[in-house]
Amino acid sequence: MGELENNPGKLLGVNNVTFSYCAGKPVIKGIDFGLSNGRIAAIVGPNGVGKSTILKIICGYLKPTSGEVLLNGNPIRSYDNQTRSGLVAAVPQNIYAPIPFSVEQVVKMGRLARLSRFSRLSEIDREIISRTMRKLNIASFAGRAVGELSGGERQRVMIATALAQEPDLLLLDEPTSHLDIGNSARVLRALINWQREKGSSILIVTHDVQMAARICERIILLKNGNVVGDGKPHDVLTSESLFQVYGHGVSSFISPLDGLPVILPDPTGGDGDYQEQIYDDSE
Amino acid sequence: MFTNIRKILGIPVVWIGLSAIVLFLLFMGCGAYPINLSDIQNLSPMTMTVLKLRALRLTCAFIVGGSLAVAGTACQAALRNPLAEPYILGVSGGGSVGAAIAIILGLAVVSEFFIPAFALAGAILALILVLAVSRRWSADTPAGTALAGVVIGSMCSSLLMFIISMSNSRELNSITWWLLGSLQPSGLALLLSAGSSLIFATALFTLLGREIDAVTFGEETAFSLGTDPRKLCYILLGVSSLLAACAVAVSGIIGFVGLITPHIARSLFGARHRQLFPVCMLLGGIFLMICDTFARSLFATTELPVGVITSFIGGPFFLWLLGRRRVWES
Repeated sequence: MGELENNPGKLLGVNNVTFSYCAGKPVIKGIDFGLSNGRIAAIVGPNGVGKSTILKIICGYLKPTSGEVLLNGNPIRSYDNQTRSGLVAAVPQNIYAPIPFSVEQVVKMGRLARLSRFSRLSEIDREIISRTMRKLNIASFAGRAVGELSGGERQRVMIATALAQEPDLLLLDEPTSHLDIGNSARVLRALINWQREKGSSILIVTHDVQMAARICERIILLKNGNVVGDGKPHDVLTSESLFQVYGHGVSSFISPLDGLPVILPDPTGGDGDYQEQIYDDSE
Repeated sequence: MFTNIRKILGIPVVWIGLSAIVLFLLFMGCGAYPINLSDIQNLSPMTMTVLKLRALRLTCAFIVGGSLAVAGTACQAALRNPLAEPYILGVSGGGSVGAAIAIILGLAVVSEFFIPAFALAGAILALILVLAVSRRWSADTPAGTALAGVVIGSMCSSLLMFIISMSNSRELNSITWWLLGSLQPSGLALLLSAGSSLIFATALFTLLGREIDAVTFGEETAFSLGTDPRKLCYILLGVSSLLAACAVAVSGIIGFVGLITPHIARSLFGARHRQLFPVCMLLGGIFLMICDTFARSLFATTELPVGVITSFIGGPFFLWLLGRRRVWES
């Protein structure tokens, strides 16, 4: 646990959370971490270690089997729907949009919980919506139906909707998985700017270690439902810990340009035994 | 003053509602016995009786059409499935089995409300079965759910055939009459209760419109936007089963109205459910009034069952929807 994250006024507290979809087979095996206001952190780990599940537990959608998730000191599931949606917003990985809403209508839904049943969007709401759409570069196709968009365009629309919610904590599941490198950079910059401006926190779940190392001040490394590393990128993403999580074939070094770790896949393996690595994976 | 009128007429619900009234009056004159409504002062008593019957029948068509359209819109939103509607999901089929059971048990004679009550039970049972089957075989893609609905629906119709073949001649008579799906209402009480559930459902769904918008993006997103998606889905599916059951109890099975109307309404007026539900109610009502007027006047002196016409229009529409790639994506 980071040194700053233990003070009582912290935004998010995940206390000894376990979770299993079916009894006896836990996906999450007792996870502890906290997050203060104004941070960007990432949960990284191999495919299928329960990263997305943690996100669903933190936003209150799934109830943990044991343990608790605290938001501003209160259990997340004790908030009513409207309050909760102003505190935490989550963007799931894949969005299927069968009903042809226009992009602008979707982003407007971000303000849903702030409206009473009969009120209309205020000037402030409209300003927030149009600014968010400009920042995520989706204003140019504001009138198109979401179902007709490409995966990357749709992903930006859903991130914009979550930003329009103006939450204290933004949860993103693989936010750049459908984006090309240019849009990826643009979206990440927009996220960082938004986070600095608002003083909110962002928690990203991703398998893209490289992206996480570049934009996050804190990395939580996950393996088999357990936290195996937590701290600054260059402390956590060492060759040893990467070996522990991914096995052979991933190497990391500190970039001389900015002091951030660079993580590269190395198919020949650190010590050259490719066959052994395949064997390790199949376990 | 005039700008105010123009503003009110700019709201789709208002002018669709006005055109529904105009069409209603127009269709009063159509049928096997054409009536010229311009000389309303000197109508014979016989003509008055015909007009009364036609007014009742058009009201019935409007209520059934509106119910099916609103139920279809609600199913499509709750299941996030552009192919969903009571008929394709087998809900109407389940409802018809329930109604037939009420008839052969002789309960329909006791009170006519036994038919919609049994229809509702059958409709909900069929819906639960369809959803359970499609989840169980992990086929809960739009087309998979539609397929499960078609299978359950045809099982329901064979069950219906079984009930018919087992029943004696008197029951057979009443089941057959009801199955033929005439929109000429037998009793006012049933029609009134169908009408009030339609108004209740449309008002409720319109109020919940914004939350329903969010539900179409999936449970997680809807939850994050500050709604309770599970509860909303139960409300949507439960109330639309009620609407489908009422429609089945009044007029037998009429297919595809609930499929076509929401798609047309969305392409004309956008997808926001706050506006979509009242628009769909009106458009569905108008659509079935038109179909029924054709059914009455196309081959004058003999009458077509209105389901023949709706399926003739709806079938190709369903195939066209199925052909679009977006439906298969999930």
